[in-house]
Amino acid sequence: MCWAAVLLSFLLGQNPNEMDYLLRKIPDATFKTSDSSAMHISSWYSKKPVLLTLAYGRCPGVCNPYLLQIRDQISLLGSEKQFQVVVLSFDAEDQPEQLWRLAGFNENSPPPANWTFGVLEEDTRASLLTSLGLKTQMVGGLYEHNTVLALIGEDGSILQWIEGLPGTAQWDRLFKELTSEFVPVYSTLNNTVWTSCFQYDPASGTWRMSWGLLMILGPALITFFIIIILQSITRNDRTKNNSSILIQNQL
Amino acid sequence: MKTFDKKFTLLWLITILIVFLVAIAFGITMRMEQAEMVDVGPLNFYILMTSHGLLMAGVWFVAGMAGIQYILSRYFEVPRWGSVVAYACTLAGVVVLLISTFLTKFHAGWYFLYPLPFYAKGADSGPVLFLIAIAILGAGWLLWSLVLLVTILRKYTVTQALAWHHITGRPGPAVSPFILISFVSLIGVTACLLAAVVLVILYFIELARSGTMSNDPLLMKNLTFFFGHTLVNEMLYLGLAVLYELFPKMAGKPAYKTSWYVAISWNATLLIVLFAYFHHLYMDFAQPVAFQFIGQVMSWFAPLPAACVTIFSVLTTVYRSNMKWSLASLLYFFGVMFWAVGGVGAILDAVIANNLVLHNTQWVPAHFHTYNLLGNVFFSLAFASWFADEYGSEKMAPSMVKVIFSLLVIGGTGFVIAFYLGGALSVPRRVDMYSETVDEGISLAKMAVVFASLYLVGMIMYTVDFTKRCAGQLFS
Repeated sequence: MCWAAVLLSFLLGQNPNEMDYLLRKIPDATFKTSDSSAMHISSWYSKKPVLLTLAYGRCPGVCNPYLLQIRDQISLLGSEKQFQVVVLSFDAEDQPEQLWRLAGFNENSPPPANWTFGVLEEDTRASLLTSLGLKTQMVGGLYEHNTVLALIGEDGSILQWIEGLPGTAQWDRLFKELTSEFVPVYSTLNNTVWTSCFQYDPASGTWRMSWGLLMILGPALITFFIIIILQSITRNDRTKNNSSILIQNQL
Repeated sequence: MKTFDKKFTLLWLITILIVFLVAIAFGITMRMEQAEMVDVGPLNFYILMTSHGLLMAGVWFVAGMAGIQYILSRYFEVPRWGSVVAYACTLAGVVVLLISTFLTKFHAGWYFLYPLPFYAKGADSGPVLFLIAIAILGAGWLLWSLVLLVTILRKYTVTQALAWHHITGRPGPAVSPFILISFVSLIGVTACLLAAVVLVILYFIELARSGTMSNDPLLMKNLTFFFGHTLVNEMLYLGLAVLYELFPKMAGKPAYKTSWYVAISWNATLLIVLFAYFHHLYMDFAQPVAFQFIGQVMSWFAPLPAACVTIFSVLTTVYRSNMKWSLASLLYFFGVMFWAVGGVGAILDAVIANNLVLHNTQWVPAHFHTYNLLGNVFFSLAFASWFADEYGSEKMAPSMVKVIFSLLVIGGTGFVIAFYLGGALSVPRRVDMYSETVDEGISLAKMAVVFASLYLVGMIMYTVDFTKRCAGQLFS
């Protein structure tokens, strides 16, 4: 089931593309928490950045290792007061406590204050899933789904969007955003861009030259050749005028 | 010297002066909007900004080219068709440009930085018309530039025109600084216009593919500033070439000779100016860091050879000379000095650490208005004044010289000081109104309107006087 998410992506023919989601606003969905109170997501993201992800309690596959990894990585950061982690279930039959356990918490070791678990209300569930690019499909009473981790800014827009298990570089970029460090976001040039002059790797900050660079050098090189050609075609004129080349100032 | 050359230069100059007045009016309207004296709205503000910027860059480029063409034609047989085609293309290009901005509401700014033309486009035909205007202007000017290069190469080889024999001490024909600077500038002009050709082609391909293909923003930005920044540098050098030819005569001194250091400085300028535009890409982290350092170093070095040698030459020319201070000589002398002031402002902005603070402030229009409005424009006005004194019905009255010169200097200086103060106070550029945090911008805009109006009055007087003295020659 763990790789079912990847398979689902292939089947649906949609490769992950962060640029499709960045800076788009999510709907202000409502969810129920363990004390049965209904909350809006905006009640968190209006105060501080929100790391939002979705899972479901009966998930036999990716949800558990996925949430455990998020927990482990966040524990390394240590800046807990600066952001809120919100884990929501898209399964109406869930209880928030089920999500606790998936994330490795229990009654003896409850989640810290900057973690919130909840179950999405029916009316806003579909629109939130669509806005986050979370795809689900019911198979044999269970959901096959991909995983999405999104950083939500104070106006409800998606500042970072990661599909699948985040890599080290993606975590690094996410943490920089959370701690207000400069994050170099360079448009993920897709295959239709055939003119790129540099291929930039945001993770390592390194670049390598691409053939589009020739287009920058092109005008100077063409000018050089034009001058050489012009010199060649004016050779006869120069020979004729060679004897009278001295300029006479007429002023 | 043929009558045609005089008449066609006159036609260029009158056209340039008229378009300049219109472009100044656009600029003053923008500052009045920022001063909250009129309410044209953001859309019209950006339409004016687009038109103002391109008209100014274009009009003073062709002014420099017309000066070069005229002085060259005093020595060589310069093909007429280059200038005629360029004139036709310039008129057609300006008309299409104004249609694209005022009728179809294209408002992406004169630099039309990618991908703005696809967003600030007004009607769907806006970017198409705008790019057609750029293509017409670029084609005409490129052709003109090549014609002038061929004219020089009919007399000199490339190495002679670059005065390399003056550096090495080998025998060769005497090459005047005018020829050297013109040749160097025309090479730069050709390169940057070719960059514009590539840029426009890429835009058209993307427009034609309507969303199925996109360009690399970094490449487009590189090409935009290779074109734009290099063009405005080279047009200043075109004006300087004419200065090197005319200024010593005005001071009653022998013509400048090309010495080894003049040759080295202008050869260095040829190379350095092609790399200086990198300072427009300091914010582009995806560009290799080495490029940013090249941009900074080249920005430091770009003005040094040309400016130091020119300032030194102009000062030594004036020192103990029998200079008869006409409007032409005054404009040349003060033009060089203001060019130096604007150059210092530019270097300050080109230092990466400063650029982080100054990048989007009014410091930027401050420095480029200094060396354009008070530098490059002065060079071309000086040439036009000299031309009118030589071939007009009469010389300019001394009282008129004093009034016009005072209005241009006081008006121009006050106008750019308002921009410099705005830059120092972090007032942003390219906005039509200011928030409460930078409301100093409103007072400074009012100040700018007053001084720019003085400059406009000076220019109206200049244009009327020039036309009165010379228009008869056009129809004689």
